[in-house]
Amino acid sequence: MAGILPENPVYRQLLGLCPVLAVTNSLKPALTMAAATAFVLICANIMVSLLRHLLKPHLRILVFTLTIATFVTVADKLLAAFLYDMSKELGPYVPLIIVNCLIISRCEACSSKEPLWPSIVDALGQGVGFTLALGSLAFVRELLGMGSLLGFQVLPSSFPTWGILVLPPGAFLTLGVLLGTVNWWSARKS
Amino acid sequence: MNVSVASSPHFSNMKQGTRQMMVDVILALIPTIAVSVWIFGWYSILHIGICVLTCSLTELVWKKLAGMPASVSDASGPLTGVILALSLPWSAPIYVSVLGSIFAIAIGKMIFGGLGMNLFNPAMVGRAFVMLSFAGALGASAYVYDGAPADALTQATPLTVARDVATAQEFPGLWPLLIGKTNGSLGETSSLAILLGGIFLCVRRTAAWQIPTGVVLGAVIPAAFFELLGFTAITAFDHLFAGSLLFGAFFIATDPVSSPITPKGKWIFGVGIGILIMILRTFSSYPEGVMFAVLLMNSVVPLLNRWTIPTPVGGSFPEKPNA
Amino acid sequence: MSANKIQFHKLLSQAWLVLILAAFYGGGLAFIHITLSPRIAANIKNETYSLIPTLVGNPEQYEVTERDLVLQDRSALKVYEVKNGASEGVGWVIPASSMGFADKISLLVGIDYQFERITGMEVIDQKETPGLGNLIIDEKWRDQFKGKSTAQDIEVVKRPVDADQEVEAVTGATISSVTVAVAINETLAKARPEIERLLNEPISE
Repeated sequence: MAGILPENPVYRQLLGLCPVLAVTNSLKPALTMAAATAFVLICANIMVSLLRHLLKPHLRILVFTLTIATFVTVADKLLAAFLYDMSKELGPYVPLIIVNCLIISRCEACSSKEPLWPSIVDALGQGVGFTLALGSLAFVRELLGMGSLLGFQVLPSSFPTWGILVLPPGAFLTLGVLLGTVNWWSARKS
Repeated sequence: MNVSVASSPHFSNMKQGTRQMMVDVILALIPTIAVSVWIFGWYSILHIGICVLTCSLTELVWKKLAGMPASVSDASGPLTGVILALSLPWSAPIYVSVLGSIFAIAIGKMIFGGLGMNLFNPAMVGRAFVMLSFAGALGASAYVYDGAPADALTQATPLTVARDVATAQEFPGLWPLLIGKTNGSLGETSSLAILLGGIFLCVRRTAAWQIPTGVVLGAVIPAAFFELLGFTAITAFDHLFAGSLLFGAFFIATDPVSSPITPKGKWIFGVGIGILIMILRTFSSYPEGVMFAVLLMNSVVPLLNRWTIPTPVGGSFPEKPNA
Repeated sequence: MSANKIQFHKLLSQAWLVLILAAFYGGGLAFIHITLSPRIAANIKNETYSLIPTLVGNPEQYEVTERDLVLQDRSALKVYEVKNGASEGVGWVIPASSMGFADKISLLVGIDYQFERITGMEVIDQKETPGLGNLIIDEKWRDQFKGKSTAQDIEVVKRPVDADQEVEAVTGATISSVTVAVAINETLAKARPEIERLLNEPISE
């Protein structure tokens, strides 16, 4: 469960930054992305943990990738079938979960060594942490960049929206500022 | 031997140095500010006031939080405010000045460690942020206003006219461009006032003369080619005096922190900015390219500094023998 | 045992897990694909079909036939022929696209059955600058295209319109606005002869 805050995949480990930068211009795609990633993470961790005694050291990465790729394809199809709008908006970033280093690093560091239950708990923690990170970034970008949250207008329409935050540079700026704030805050605490 | 290491700008007399330099620049800006007040009235005073105030406040607050001695007595923060204000359109909403200033100082300067450490020109960082964020409030249409306080302001900016046949307005002549009776950002309209202050800076050695000369040469030569090839509707001469080319050459590109330290590097830097300005003006979707040109060249300054280390008198250092 | 056979056994003893997993996953994916693909196909179709009625003036009952046109430059264009309950022609819906400021802008244009006037326009896909170019999806702006003639090109102007075929550009987003008009002009010009041919053709079925 350390993945939620003390070992947050984005703010602490700086893992999986591609979707963090690419799909966080509003909350809805960010949360969909986070859910898809968490789904793949949990399923892959369960499979790898079940297979952990059968893994051969030099073939383990192959097994990880095969497992992850399968669940990513499942997630991609599920999105296209049940959340078509989101699937269109996320585009290539759903298949790209395959190369999200967060997932393969959890397979390697945790589930290939731990029994089933700790692996599930670990994946849940990391998944929630990843969701928090994507959500917080998207919250700032959508609120200031479009004046809305989850597509609902929350700021008065006279609010001058900060267009740059919705554009790609805004992702880097927001991530940098949030990362700095998290570090500053934790440095002050200790 | 005792050697002290400090970040740029470098002076023999550090106590006076930075502040003297910044005060020089502010002095050199007086003609430009005067013309700006004459053309744009109190809009100009308003924006300069807000930007200077916000920049100073941001710097003070940041220094306080970071545990540095909190002061703006080196005048670099207020100067960033003046330059930022002079590069904004007169009709810019107040929140643009405030946010631009906060961003210029916080993200453009302090986050790198304060004066001397910043990679990019702070004023241009702030301007880029507001320009991209509030494109609707600051685009070409922000300059033109039906109820504008002066005749000149009911026309599109010279560069917008130059690239847009649809506005069906005449490009202003040389005289309005020189004295500043045209539309544009607050500090860019009068070439004469800019030249006056700019030459003062170069004579005082506050600004390196290589940079503005490089920018002008780098812009005029491609502009002449583009004119011959028919890519641009106005002459190279018009390109030189219209828009913020001269303002950028003398007051923005010459920032000692974000420009190269070697003479050769300064030449390359200036010429690079000039060429980029012309490429952006001619082929991009923006009428003006000074801001992006300066920011782009800022990013290669560390490289230029490394490439252009001058050879000391008496030849280069002998190679170290393999011990 | 021959050397080859020993080698084969050695490989198999290492790779059996990967092989079994691959077969297992492959089977699972095939199952998912078979179960979900009708739904996905329906989603894709729905994307266009749900917009069709508003584009041709909201007929109460309608039925859509897909027509594959072969244009004069030999490219293919899929258009949608809309008929009402009594199988009288209501209109046409034609996809159009062109390169905008940031990325491709994709549109659907509705036209009356005689191919004389535009009856509606929808933007299906665009990635233009938020706050400027993306205002082309605004309904008020899109409604300017309603009633324009298909016989002449639509022109984008940067002032209030004062002629029939003019459309006012989105402020600060001339490129996006012009792209939309160009996409419509080009596609209609190309589709026009083919559709007129279809209209004059005696019904063959």
